[in-house]
Amino acid sequence: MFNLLSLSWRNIWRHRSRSLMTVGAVALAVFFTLFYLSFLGAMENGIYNNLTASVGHLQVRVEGYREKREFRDLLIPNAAGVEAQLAQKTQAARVIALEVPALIAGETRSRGALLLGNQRPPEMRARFIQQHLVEGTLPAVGDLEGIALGQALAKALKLRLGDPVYVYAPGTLGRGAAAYRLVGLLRFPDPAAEARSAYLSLAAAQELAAPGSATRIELHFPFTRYTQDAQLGPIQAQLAQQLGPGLSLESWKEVSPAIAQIFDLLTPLVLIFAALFFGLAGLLVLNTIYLSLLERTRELGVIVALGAGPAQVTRMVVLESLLLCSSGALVGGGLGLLSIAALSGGFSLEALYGEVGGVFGLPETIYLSLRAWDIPITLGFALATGLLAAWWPARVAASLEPVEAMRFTA
Amino acid sequence: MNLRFLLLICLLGLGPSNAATDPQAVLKAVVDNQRGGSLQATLTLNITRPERQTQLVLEVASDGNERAITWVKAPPREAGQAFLRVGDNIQLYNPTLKRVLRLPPSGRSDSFLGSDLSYSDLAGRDLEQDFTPRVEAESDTEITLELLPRPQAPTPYGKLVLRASKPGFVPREVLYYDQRGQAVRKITFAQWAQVGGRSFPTQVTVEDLLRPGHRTQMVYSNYRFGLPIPESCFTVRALEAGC
Repeated sequence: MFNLLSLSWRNIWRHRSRSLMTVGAVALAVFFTLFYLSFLGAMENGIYNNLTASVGHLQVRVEGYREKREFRDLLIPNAAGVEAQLAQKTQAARVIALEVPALIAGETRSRGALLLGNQRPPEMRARFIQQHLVEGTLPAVGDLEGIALGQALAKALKLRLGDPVYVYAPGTLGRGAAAYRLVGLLRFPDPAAEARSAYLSLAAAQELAAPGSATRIELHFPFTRYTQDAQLGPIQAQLAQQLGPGLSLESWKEVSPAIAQIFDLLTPLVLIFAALFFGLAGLLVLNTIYLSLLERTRELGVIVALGAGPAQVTRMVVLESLLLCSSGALVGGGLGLLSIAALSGGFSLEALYGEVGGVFGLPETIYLSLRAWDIPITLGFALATGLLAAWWPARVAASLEPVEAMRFTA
Repeated sequence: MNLRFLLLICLLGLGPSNAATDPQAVLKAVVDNQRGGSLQATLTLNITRPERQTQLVLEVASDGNERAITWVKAPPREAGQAFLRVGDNIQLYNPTLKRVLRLPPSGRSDSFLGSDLSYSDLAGRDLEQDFTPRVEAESDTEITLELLPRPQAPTPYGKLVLRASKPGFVPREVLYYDQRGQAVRKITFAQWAQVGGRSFPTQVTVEDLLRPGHRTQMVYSNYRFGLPIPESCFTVRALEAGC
């Protein structure tokens, strides 16, 4: 076997430039595949974290809430009781939210907006403030007078910090109307969301529209990678059984099915690209091996005449192909891993996709990272390329007749 | 030759007589009937939902055209609110806020106090302003108009089909279609009062066709037509103080 290996290795380097070019092509395919897979992993994790931060990993809602349109039909009564019940079953952080469609007005202008009253755990509140607050403060827990508006909404209403804000929420179950003071301005990646967002404390929203109720309770688990999401299924099934009648528990995938569909499409798309890279690289490997065989036809005839069987010849050709591919994989893999390590500290693509990225929940900073199966997938592609590229030349070589081969002239 | 010429003249004469129905004029006549000229009335809204029923009592004063003012009298929870429409401008007064707020144009099709009515249904001539009519079908007793939204019209609907009886173009039914062509809302008119040559429907039922059991019936009572409504009624001051 060692003799066969050394013979194959020597054969490869007979035409140094051609072999180097082939190794380079395989190295490029491996490099791009690793880079794409790590980029995909980073995007997946980024979108996953952005999305789950805004809607939670799991969400308690009124059953059939999508078909219900009236505000009162969307309410979870005794929200604090439901939240306390969930607290006994899970350690996940919980956010109680009440969404109220309302008319929001300043002294001269008004706009329709979605008012959100919520109660977040302190660390989540601090993160929200860090990410979204641009001026002032967020209404404190239990604050009945302060309101924070999206910067675009405040601009449209010609409001500044400290100005009075009038909220009119007809058809609700609370006071239905109230005056607040603008205490904070918020920025969101999606400009349309910023132009219709208003934030109150949960207590203020409940007083305005639905005492004691909420429209959703979010459960946030300490998952930071999309791969951890697989743990969610059993937890969801277990918690759903504990909920009272009329309530449903949905995962973020069920809440945002369009984004979940994008997630399902990302990996196959990258694998199709990887297959194309390796297909092109494979053609170069095939070309190299076949040309090398043509040039050595007479030599192969002698080898066969000396007693080498078709299996040995096939092995030699396959080995040459695998050596070319594995050398390329080594170089490309090394360069890929070094690049990924260098960029794992994070880089921004905001200049590339601008505000549109925020609309789709794309992360502002990309942290390249590889998932457990990314390296085996790439190596598998390289190995398969080597084997497939060698298949036809190996068959040609194995079927050589010694006398004819020794008479062969290219 | 002369006979052929006579026949041609007859045919040409028949054409214009069928096409003479001016859809815009028909729509104007329908809206005139629907609004009934200047009016003062009590309006009772019976809001029906699968699991509950709510009643609102309103006082309305309208010049029958583009100006109307509505005060909410009952239930106590909603009482004191008032709505003023002058042309495209809708303003509302809320006693809790003690303020007048202006409703943005996009809010005109929003639900009025949780009912199936929109702010546009209460007053104004949006059907004429926002839609281009076309005669879809016509018989001796009935005419059907198809109304398509004008460009930039602040309406969520893709098409309306209005049915009126002849003569007089008395409104019978309006079907609202969404942008995909699905019927989503139906307004039915009944119990007409004869007012100076107009047939004013005193009972209007609005049905949500997407949600069975969601219906709002609007019944006019104590109505008085043709009264001169003072100009002071259509002012912001009247929202709070009345007129």
